[in-house]
Amino acid sequence: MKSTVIVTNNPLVVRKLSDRFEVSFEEQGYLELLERVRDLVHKGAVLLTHPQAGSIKPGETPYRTVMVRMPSAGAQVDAESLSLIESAIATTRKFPVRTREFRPGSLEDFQLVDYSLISSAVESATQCHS
Amino acid sequence: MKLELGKIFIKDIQFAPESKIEDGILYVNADELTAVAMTEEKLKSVSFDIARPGESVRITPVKDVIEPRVKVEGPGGVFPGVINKVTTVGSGKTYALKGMAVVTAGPIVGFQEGVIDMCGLGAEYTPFSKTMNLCLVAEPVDGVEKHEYEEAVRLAGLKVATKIGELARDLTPDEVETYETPDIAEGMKLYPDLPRVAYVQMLQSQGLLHDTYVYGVDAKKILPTILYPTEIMDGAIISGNCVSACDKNPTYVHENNKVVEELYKQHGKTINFVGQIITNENVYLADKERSSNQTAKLCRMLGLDAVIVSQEGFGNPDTDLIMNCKKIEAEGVKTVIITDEYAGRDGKSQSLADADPAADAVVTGGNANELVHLPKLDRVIGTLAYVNKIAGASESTLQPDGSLEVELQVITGATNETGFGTLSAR
Amino acid sequence: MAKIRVIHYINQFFAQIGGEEKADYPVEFRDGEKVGPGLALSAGFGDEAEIVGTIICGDSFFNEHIDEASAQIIDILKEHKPDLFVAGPAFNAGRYGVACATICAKVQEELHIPVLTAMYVENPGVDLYKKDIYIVPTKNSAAGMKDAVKKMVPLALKLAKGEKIGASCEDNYINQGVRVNFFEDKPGAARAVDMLLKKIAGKPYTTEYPMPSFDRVDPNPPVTDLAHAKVALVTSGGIVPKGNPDHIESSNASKFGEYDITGVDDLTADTYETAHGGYDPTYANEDADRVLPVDVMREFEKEGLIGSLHNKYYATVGNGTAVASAKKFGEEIAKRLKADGVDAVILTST
Repeated sequence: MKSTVIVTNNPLVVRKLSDRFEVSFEEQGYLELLERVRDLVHKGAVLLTHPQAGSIKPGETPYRTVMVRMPSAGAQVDAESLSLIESAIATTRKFPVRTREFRPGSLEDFQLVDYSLISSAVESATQCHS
Repeated sequence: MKLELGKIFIKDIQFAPESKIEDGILYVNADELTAVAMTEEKLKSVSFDIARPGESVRITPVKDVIEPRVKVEGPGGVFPGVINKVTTVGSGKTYALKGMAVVTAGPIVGFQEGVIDMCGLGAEYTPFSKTMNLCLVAEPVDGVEKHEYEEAVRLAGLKVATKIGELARDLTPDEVETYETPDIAEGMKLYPDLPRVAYVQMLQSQGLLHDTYVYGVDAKKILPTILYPTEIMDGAIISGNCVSACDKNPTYVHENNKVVEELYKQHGKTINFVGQIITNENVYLADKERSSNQTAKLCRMLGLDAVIVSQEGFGNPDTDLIMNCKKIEAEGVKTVIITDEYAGRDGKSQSLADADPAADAVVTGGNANELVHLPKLDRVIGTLAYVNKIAGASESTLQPDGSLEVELQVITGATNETGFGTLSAR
Repeated sequence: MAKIRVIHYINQFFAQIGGEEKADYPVEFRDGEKVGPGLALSAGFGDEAEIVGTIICGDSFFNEHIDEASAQIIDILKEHKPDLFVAGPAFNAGRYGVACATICAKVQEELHIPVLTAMYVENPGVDLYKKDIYIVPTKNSAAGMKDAVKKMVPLALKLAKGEKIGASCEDNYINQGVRVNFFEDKPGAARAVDMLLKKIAGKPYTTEYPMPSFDRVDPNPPVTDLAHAKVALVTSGGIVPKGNPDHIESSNASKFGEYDITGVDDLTADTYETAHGGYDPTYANEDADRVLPVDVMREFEKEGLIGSLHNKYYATVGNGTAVASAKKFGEEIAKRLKADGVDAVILTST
């Protein structure tokens, strides 16, 4: 999985997955994380996981993790990835960010849920090659 | 496959020295049930309580709702692959305790559990304000991982429901309903002129704390497959997830799937209800492609004319929903999809995270972001400690007067996407 | 409880003053009078509300003097202090609908009193203000008066009493683009099966959540032989012969024009101009080729790049023009182009 990179702002993901994957961590907001992924897509990266969280609405969690395949030299922009990440960004902008409500107790839960979502993708990523 | 479903109506639940059902009253011995639940080693303690329709009671944080059933004839037992052996179920005779439910509660993931109000405005939105609820509140042993806690509560609930269901084994049902789905060849002979219709059910399967189990297997790992709709009436599908309360499908909703019920009503009259296709909602994009491709393929293999597709959850499952709809329509099979909406508190945002012109027939369970004001109720089963953290709540949720200002999201079953309730939006 | 005081707005036609020839009738207030549709509304209101006066205004007068007419109307309302302002119903009358919706929106904004109007869903007034005010959908002609009044009365009373307004399908108004929850009679699953049965049978059904509109048109195959193609110009940029002979409106156009350009090689400031409002027309008026490139097309014609430039061009104004009107114009223009054997069209806007 050498070209696979996990892009995250969730410290728990770094702790749990960096021994098996290349994890690109930055301390940043949900939207900024998505924008960082978009920049990678502009350079030809392909999304391997859906950029929107399931069940947790944008603005409710500060954490997001997206798995991408890094581009090989001269790669074209992947149109599908671009459309997914752009619509995720657009949806996120529509919802108010409730930062002041992210208290220590729930932060851990949010980290855990984000991690559990990406770890299910890890399972899929390591069993199929498409 | 043919299943007789015997209904036993429960008018009240009472604690008593001996567990039994008599004259429509369920008597339970709490110690006995505690012993059943405590076989789950990850639980430190459990307590039982009763909430009746109309009482000034709030149950929270709600994890699952289960209808007790017992298999009295035919192969297998209820909740196959989990409680009983993985025998294929859905034929013979099953009794269900109607008008009641086992409700499990506990702060597994603080912000993802639900609220059930037994009276007031909140009661109008949850279907489980109309059932007699035997509530099981479970505390984990210290240091347990969240997903282990989830599993322990999930299994404790199913074990308790099974135990209660057993009490009905020798009773005579008040009402019997028969559901029958012929095999495919026979069905074509029986109803050569009726449109062939199936139900496509999407199951939440996004990873730990977001799972649904089919015959005990994690739905994330299945390829879409076909069930006789009677299989789910014996508990072939159970809920193992902690997603937003309003649009997750508790086990009760799987046992009593309304789409299945409504399609059976038309079966042999206006349609030939061929069967149920189950598929998943994974986070990995290649999984989404594969599952929607296979779902569309199954629709073609079954020679369908039309399907109803139901969703579970919001956000990236919208992508699965739209992929399914588009690909099934592309096979020439007409679709109606059931979803709910996140249009913001003001109702002005685009409701779905994904959209396509192929989705031209949509039933909605309403806008889950709508703000409601729930009055203070006299008694809380569980704890209000987490209510500010539930999805759809905020810092200011718990008002000084004890009332709650929340989005519909927090109310268990409020915007169910299998069409369980009557809420809608325009 | 005191009766709710209502002031009613209608146009010259419904006041029986006259038709198009009286459309420039200025604002008039008839104190204490109910006129035309006001009689039916008043009957519907019964004991609960009373029309205490009627404002009459010609449609041309209103649309050509929006600020002046609105100010006069608002002054009348300030003086007579109604609890509720009702305009119309306007049915499919475009300028009347725009007047009703506009004055309602202004009254609501300036006086903060409840307002209500009614019109056909394709009336351009709907698109302009449906997000701001409640508009009751009506049939497309005055034959739907009875039905319109029946729907307007309960909603008007609810608004005047400050009661909570339900979803658009419950309280009979045109959806404001806001999702509103309500309880249906049947559970979602039963509604889904009903919808499916209709869809299977090819019968009409109403989706509960219309997908955001994707009015996409698949492009035609490319023109393979441009050198022999007859190419036409069509614009929504309002380029018309100087003086605007067909009086195409500067906004919410009700028509398009067909103009012969046989022998015209260049559009000049003396011969052509734009009728289009809502943008700075200086550069278009200086040289209309900037919007409708006749000069370049003539060069292409000479060079043999295209077969010929069609000798007629079509123009309308896109500014605030209802989609329904635009669709109608497009269909008619396409028909004429086809009849003339045109192979390709270049569409330009502002």
